[in-house]
Amino acid sequence: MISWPPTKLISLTRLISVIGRRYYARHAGGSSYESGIPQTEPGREEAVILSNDGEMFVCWHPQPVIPYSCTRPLPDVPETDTVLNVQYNSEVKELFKRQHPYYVNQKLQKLTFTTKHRWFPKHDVWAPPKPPKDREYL
Amino acid sequence: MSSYLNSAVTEHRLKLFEKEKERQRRLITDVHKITVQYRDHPEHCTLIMNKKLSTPYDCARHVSQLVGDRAVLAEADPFYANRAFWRSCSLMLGSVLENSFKSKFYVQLCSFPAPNVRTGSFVYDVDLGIDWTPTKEELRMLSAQMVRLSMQKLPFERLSVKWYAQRLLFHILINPSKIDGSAGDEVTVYRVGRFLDMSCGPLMANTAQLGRVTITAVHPLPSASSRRLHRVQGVALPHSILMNHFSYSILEKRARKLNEGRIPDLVAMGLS
Repeated sequence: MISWPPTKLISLTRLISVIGRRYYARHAGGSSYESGIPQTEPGREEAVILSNDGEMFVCWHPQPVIPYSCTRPLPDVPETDTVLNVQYNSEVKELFKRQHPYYVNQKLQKLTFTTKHRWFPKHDVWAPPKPPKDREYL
Repeated sequence: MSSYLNSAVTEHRLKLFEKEKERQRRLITDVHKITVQYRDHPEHCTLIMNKKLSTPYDCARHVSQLVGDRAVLAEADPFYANRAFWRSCSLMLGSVLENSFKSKFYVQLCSFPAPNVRTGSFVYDVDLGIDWTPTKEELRMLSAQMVRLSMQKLPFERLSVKWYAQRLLFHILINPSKIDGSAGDEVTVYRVGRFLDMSCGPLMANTAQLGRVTITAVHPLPSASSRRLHRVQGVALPHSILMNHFSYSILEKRARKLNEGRIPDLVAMGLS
């Protein structure tokens, strides 16, 4: 019988080491033999296995290997005759610009998935009163 | 063309610097306390610090964070602060020059003359291995690198090393023009980021104290030897000083003129 959640964890490390060794043998240039793990996509091996004693499920999801046929060439860097290793681009130009707060706020909204209201200055209602109130009961 | 790589040299220097720093730290085995009197804003106070370990910067951080961030030197005279600022700018310029060229060029930094604010520009003399007349964009790119360096808020780290240790740091590193300029038992080595340089100091605390900065000109220097040095010049303002762009453009124009500081004599250094 399978009990859920699984109570035993004994064979987990052994199983993973076995699968790992097979994986290694396949991808790191060792002796090639079939691991028997199906590829859900090219380069992606994923499996959920029930252990031999039937007490737990083991999930195998290593870092996928991207096959060469699925890659794209690197973008061409426009060749200039400069001796410097930095390109003169918009990023450099922006370093010298001082942006209006409106545009800074717009960027912040996009970064944090918030509305514009979050970025307006707000009167702090929870700030301690000035001068501080005399609270004798404390 | 040289077979040396600036990145490899930097790496080697850093390793030696770290080693020497670790060695010096091990020499201090027990910590003694000293009292430091502070008489200035925001309040007078007495601090108990560690002998041979604490720096004026540590004291400033105890006084208040604002003082720690903004204090340039542990010295009241603005004359010294100005000089320190100019010197720090030269050092940062050296760092930028060493890192901004394509790897096929081996950039050898030579030296910078004693800081003089009246000349209107800070300077670094450098051997690029080529004759270079930069375009406006290239100068702007160098300025951008300076801005980037100041945005990183890197501290200037100081280390006094004996003559032999200094030879280790610079002589092996095939930068002979760096060592012959100064003789004596101890020299001071400064580190900013991954860049190392010799300077008598003092320098400012942090690269963030650099505000507006422009690299204005690169002048080829007359020299009797086969090596050709270039004098790279720039002008900068501290972070806390804001200036109208028109006034600043006058400063920039002034900084484009060739700086009259002492020109290093390569022949006297034994480099022909």
